[in-house]
Amino acid sequence: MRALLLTLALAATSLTASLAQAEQVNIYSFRQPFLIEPILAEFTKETGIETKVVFAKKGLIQRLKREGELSPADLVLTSDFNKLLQLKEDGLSQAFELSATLKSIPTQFRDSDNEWLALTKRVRNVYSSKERAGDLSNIRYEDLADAKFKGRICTRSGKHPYNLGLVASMIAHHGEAETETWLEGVKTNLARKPQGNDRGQVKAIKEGLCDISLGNSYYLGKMLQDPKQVIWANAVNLNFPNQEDRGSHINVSGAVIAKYAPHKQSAQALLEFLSSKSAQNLYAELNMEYPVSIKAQPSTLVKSWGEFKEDNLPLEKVAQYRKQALKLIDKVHFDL
Amino acid sequence: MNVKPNTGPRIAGLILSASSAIICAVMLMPIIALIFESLSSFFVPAAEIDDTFSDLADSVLSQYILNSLAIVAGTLLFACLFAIAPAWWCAHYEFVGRRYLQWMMVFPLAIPAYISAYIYTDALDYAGPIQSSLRQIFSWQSPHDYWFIDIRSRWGASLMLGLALFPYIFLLLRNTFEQGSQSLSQAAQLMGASPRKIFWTIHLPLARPALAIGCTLVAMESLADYGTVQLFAISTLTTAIYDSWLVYGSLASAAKISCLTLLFVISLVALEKNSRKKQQHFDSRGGKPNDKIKASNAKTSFIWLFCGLVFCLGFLIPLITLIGYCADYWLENINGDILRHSQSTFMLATTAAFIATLLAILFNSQQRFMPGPINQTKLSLSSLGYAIPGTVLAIGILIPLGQLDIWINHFIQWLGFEKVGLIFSGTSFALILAFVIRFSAVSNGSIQAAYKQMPTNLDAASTTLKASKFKTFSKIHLPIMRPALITAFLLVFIECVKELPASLLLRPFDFETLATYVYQFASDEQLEHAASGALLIIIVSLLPILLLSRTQRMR
Repeated sequence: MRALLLTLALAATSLTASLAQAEQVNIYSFRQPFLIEPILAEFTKETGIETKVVFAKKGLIQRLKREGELSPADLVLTSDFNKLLQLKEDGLSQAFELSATLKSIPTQFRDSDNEWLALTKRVRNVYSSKERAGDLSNIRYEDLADAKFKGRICTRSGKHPYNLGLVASMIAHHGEAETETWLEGVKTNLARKPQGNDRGQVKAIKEGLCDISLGNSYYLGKMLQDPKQVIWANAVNLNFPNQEDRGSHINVSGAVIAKYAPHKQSAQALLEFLSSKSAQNLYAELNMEYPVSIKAQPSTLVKSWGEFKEDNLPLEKVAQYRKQALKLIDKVHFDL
Repeated sequence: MNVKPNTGPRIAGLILSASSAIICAVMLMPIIALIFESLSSFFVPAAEIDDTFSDLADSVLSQYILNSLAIVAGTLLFACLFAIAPAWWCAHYEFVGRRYLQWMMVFPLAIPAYISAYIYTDALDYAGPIQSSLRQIFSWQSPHDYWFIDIRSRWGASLMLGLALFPYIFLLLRNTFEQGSQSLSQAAQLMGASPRKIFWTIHLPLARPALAIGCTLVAMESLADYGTVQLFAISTLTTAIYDSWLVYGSLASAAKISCLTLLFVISLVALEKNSRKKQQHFDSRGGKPNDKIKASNAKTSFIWLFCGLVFCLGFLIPLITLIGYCADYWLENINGDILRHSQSTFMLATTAAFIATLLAILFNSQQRFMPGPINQTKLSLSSLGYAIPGTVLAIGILIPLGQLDIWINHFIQWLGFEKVGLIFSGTSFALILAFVIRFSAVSNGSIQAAYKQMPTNLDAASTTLKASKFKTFSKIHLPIMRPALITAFLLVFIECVKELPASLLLRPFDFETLATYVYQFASDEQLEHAASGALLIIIVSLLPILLLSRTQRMR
């Protein structure tokens, strides 16, 4: 019986041995592979460490929780700050070493306990029709509830992380009651039920379905590169809201090292690489995102959209309202 | 005469029934794990009170329930509309091209609803080519100037799901109609009943079990759909489960809504069962299939017109659009990885379909030989997985498998070896288990329909001839239900190839199925860049359909 068990164990070991031997880093990614693959390929070229990725938009945190100490994940990449903080709160992350490279990331973009690190910034912009919306360069998020925009606004689902982050930041600045009134106002102003993604809203502006939409700025860059979508992009202006007061709402993509990372060294190496000047520039060039490192520069195209003021309220302060934000969105039937 | 009591069969029966009970328990494991998890909040005092469910119930839940019910009803309506008449025509009439048509009607099954939904949204949206050109022709300026169908609506979603799912009903019904009673219809004919009357009073009622099973499958599938309703921005019960779990972070609330969904399914099935409780009809005479009536030219062209329209909507238009995308974004679409993904998809789907078919035979034959509440319960329980949305099922599987892995690792370390890692929850095993649990209802349905058609006096005759149960099964049941077996395998195979949410969550590192590969692009509304992957899903799903049509034609 014992011999049988040993054989079984051996067989299982040989099966999984390949997982443990080679130098590699296992990534759970909320970001689409095609966004990060070129950068990961560069990492492998530089360090010889192989990268393995599982991508899903939802449920990876739950998977991590279930796998517990046996989880093969080394690094988790997220596309918004709520998930970064959730990973920390749920005890699924561990502290990284704060090396010189990582110090080049401004303090508001990394955890005070070094458990999460932002890698890129994205702005929640207001897109507006060149033809019909006029000059909106002074627009504020608060204005979106204004009656003059009735039937003219398009947006994706209120529950999408990007909009959720924005609503949470509204609560952080104005309190829950005022935000509810604002949300109701925005809801009345919608040209159609929230649907599609950020690009779809710009397309709708091009077609005249609405005049204004919410969207992250890098989508403009992506659309300008796509032969079919470039006409959508050319129909809109990109506005940075709240420039006269607190600044535009910033969300981040980021990473944590998993609590039970089997290859912690490699994960640290990847984290260093992702925040290095060269990778930060790659993020800027390939994805049109704003690098968090002070050493890197946005791409020329992104720079041409102009300098802007960022909302500097710490991400933790915003993220603590994510549940209230979600409840409000349901309460005003924003998506229905 | 002294006959020795033969204990062999009895022991075999016991082993079979014990093993089916164990399999049943394994299949229920995710649900039990979820219920346990949701109840654990009662025992472990939480830091804050979780009121997600009551919040949802206060605000949006009733609207979600309404949407879910409307989509299920709408999908059933469309699916029956597309399936019943063509199934009857293919089974009852002989006309030009019937052999091709009866397989063409199954083709839409190869296209996942979320892909055709994407394609039709692109075409019919306000910004799409159809509305744009209409606006140009009639010089309309804004959406207020005219009315156009809103594809992103409950009707739109029902139509998409109906188009993707009607082949279930079609396949089950066609098999039934073809084996339908000739003597009864001949008797009716002699008494002067019109063909229409014969259809409504004899064939359709006879096919009612198959129709009911098909409708139940379609209803469950549309209830658990996530991709299509998500794309169309319609909030349903499935959306509510996702939200409360993955956004609100409340497993307890998600489990409560899951239970609500299950309740719907169970009452649906019970209602259907109850309504035909007293019905039991077999026709033992005339084992040969129905002679087909030659259809007139007018009838033939009408049949082709109707079925052709359904075929175009459900298959041809999406296919051509995908090929168009492929051509437009040629560079993005040539990709060596895709072949690897199709290979792994094929292997996975074959394994899962094989297991699911075997299990369906086991459960159904047990209920056949030893009808009783226990076996009936086993059969019903083994079909329950179909109603659970993929993501929920995936997490439900991870809970017990993860625990099992932890135990195994502790044990192996105790033996003095290195940790082996996640050998169950981190490998294809978890994925195959998920597929089998989720799609057993499909194979069960197909085989159940076959057994319902098979007169019980065949078994009685066999027993009279002192044949063992095994012999009755292998010599009588198996040959009769061969077409149903193939259908069962085929349907599960196709479902596995298309399955998305559970695959996303359970797949191991560096492992993509075609569906997950396509989804990463489709979820960003860039299906154009992965059109070749979507085409491969269709080809991989079509392969077994074509093979099947060949073997059946040769017979």
